[in-house]
Amino acid sequence: MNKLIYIYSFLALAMVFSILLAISFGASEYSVSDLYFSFSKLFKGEELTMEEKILLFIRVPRVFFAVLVGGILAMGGTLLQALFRNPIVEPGMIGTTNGAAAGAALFFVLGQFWLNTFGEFALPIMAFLGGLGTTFLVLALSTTEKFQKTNVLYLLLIGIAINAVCLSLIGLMSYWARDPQARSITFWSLGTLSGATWQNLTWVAIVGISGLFGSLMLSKKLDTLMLGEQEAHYLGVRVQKLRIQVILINVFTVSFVTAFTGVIGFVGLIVPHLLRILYKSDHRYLLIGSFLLGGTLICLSDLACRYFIAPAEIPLSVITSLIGVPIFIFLLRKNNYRF
Amino acid sequence: MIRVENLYHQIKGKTILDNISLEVEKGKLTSIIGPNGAGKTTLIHLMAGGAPYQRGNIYLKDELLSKYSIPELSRTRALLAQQNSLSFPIAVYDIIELGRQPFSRLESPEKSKEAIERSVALWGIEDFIHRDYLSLSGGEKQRVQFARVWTQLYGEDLKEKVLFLDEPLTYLDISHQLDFMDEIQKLTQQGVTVVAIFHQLELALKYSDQIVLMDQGKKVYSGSTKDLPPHFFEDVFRVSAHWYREGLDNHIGFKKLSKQPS
Repeated sequence: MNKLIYIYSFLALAMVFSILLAISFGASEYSVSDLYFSFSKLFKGEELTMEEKILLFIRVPRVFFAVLVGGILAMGGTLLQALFRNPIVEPGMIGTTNGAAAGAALFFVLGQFWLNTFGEFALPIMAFLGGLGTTFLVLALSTTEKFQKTNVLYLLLIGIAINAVCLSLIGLMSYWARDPQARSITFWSLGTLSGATWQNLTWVAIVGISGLFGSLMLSKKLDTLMLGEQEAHYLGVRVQKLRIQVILINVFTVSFVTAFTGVIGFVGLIVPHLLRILYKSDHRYLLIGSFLLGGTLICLSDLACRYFIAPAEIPLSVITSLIGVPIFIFLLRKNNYRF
Repeated sequence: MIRVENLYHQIKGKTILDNISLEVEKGKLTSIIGPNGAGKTTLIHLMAGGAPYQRGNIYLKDELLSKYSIPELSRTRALLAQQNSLSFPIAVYDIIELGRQPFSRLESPEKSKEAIERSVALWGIEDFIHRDYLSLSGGEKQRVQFARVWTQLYGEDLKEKVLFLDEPLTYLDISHQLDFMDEIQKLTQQGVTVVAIFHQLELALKYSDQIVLMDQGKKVYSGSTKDLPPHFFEDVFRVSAHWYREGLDNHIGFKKLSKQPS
């Protein structure tokens, strides 16, 4: 129990530290006192300078957005790994993120049509529908009717197939697109937090935090699932209901986030692994921990995106893959997980 | 305690259980024996409410099994399956704690802890309680699973509980097998109803109060151990059986039947 308190404190401190770091550095640099003075000026209703406006309306929301996005994606990975009892599942592998990207590509190319249909939220709505649709397609195709049971190998293979279809669709859209649209598609397929505003942040915070509380209520049941679906059933868990709850939470939160940020890979995959090594496979801890650690990782990754070639930006997935892939391979080789 | 009436079950068009009727007595050890593929595992899972059955009826304490909710059943019976796979590292203690999950909202944490501690002591796993389950030997893993299942049953009302075991002796050496059978006997003496599948016929016959012999989805015999006519062994297992006395105990030996020229 004591160890758990240390781990939570460590994760929380790391998060606070990375938030401060990410607010301070970037195309323009700020100190903590800048932050304090800008906020107090804002509340007093005084005129803000350009620099201060950038800090308050671009930098700060973006940093908190990064934290939430990372937290939600890592939580999605934890949920799916628990549900499928498999350490290499993450939202990207069952089509959620690439489906959302395909929906977004459709928006970029046929923008005017969708704008007329859905109004100003056309991009997030398209991405959301894309993510939702592909995920349910993958799940439906990999579920054998007889036992309402999902075969994990099927799931991963069908996920690969459906992802390939999504990527082709994105490719086709890029081919048709004119230059600025094509650049938008590319950037979006590789993830970016440049769209962060206080308004988006609020939406994502509501969805993310309700998702976290929802999944925390399922954490004990997810623990029993580690023993196997049959064992969980004998321990009194309604497995079918649990499955639906977990998938719904995951699809809604991840599609929703992806709708604003584009595709961000590997967070959902590696964060739960790191946490299992740090302490143990208790799902209450894994869910809270993945929210904290995932948030910290994306916050720092986004800082790297903004920092290295400022004022230009590196797409976010470039950084997360660079960090994530070596860690993932290392963890797989070290742990002898069973699939 | 459990009554099965005309149970019939198919999986993928193949008949697994064909018109099975039997009664499991309260507080007794009932062993299900039979060759591989006889339908024993399916029968035990259906009796434990692991999956819905297709035709016939199963009663638990004179109430239709389908009337019980999944959580209700989990507080009345426990089942130890043939294979247990874990995908993530997990400490032994945490596994045993999961056994108490059905009661988590109904009893105080102290009571749960007491159940866990008793179980740990009973199955002698104090020494590796904090180790990772995946690092244990086959026999140690099996003992941990026993402890988990026993934790689920633990309570004052043991007479109302049923324990299902699917080939529980598989990973144990002979000395642990005998220990285990003694523990099962103690459980039945405390009033627990036990239904188990065994391949170790000698042990099954020696310890059981009641035998259910199955072959190709049908029940060939059910009743007391000593009334089991030897010709059933020849019909079902293709072995001849003979009893012999050693000291005060009766033992049984088996010999493979030579193939008859056809």
